[in-house]
Amino acid sequence: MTKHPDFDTLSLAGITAVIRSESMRHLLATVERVARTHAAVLITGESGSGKELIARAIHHYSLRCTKPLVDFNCAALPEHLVESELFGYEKGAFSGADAAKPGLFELANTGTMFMDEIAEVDPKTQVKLLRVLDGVPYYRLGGQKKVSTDVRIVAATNQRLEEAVSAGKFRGDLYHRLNQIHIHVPSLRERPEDMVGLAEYFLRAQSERAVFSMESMQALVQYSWPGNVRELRNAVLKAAMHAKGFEIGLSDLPPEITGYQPAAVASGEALSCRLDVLEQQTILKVLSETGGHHQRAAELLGISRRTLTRKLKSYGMATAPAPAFA
Amino acid sequence: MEWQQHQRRLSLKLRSKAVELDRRQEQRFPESGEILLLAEGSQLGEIRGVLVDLSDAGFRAAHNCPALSAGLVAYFFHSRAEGLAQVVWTRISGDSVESGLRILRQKQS
Repeated sequence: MTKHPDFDTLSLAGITAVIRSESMRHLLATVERVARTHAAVLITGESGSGKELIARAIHHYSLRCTKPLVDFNCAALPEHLVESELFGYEKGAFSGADAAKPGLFELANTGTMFMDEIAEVDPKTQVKLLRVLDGVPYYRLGGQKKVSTDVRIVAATNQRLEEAVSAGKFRGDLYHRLNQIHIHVPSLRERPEDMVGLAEYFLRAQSERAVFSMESMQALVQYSWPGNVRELRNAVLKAAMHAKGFEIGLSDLPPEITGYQPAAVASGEALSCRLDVLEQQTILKVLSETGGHHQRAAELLGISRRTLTRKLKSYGMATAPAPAFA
Repeated sequence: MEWQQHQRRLSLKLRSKAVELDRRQEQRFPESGEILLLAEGSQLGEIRGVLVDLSDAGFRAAHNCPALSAGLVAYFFHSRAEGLAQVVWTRISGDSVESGLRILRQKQS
């Protein structure tokens, strides 16, 4: 993990993770621990929350890290093509099969196979997949020779697989086999510290000098980010393109963000998350008004300077806020 | 002998099942030309690579961008066609990266 002035970044096969929140630090520590086992891992979380990043981290920290990583999207192919892609085929297995083709399991041999959107796999392929997971050799389509592979499976879904099992859409035995280790990636709205870090990271990738205005940062923090990191990245890209100067103002942000009204009623974890956000916003606002003067900000907030420092540290803002807030 | 007959029967059974399961009609042709990929909604920039094989429905390309992950949609440009394709899989092994893409729409050059 590399240390950035404002946040930790972790580069995993070309994808950069930006981590400020305690929940993500804790999650990555768990990933590092489970990566060294050979168990199958099921990653759940909302779309765009970073499931692929966690899958890459599992491969990166595993003993298979020098072996192939195959990343497969189960929803990107029509049902009837998934089987031939995964298990391969022999020459003449069907019209068009003019040469034998190894499947992705063979290409991933001794390494890791990441199967995204696993809930989309059709029942027939689920049976074959279960056998591969159990280490049973299989045949390529139209093949006569058994193929044995040693592949660690990491699967991901944004759906509730337990419900799919109850509804008979997903095999219970496959679910339990995939779910040897379960990792849940929290949504972006559950970790506002990461949201701020990611927004700054994406903006810096566009322009070194660009900064968010206080109002635009507040709008970003308040928004619920249903599309998670993917939505945030697109919003920052659009804002950077719209901005006339180096400061990203409220008017540069997409309308769904500026017009967003946070829900008035929340409970449990969601409420504590929202309170965190409100507290963070208030602190940032006061710091902005005092020109980043911690002692004066603490007095205005009615808390000790030590408490202010602790709170800033918990938001991953141990130093004075970035120029964007000044 | 009996085992061989059983294997042959099994092979025929699997083959007919394969035809039923995989209705892929297009042939794949080995290719070696250059390809340019531009992934939508990402900060990957231009990805340059070489075609490995090609069919009417998709293609395989070798490149040097491990971040081109499955599920991403990319504009592609090569000597025969240009269009939009979705990454179905990406295999990363050391420095070598290869992806299989399914064509969503294309215009022949």
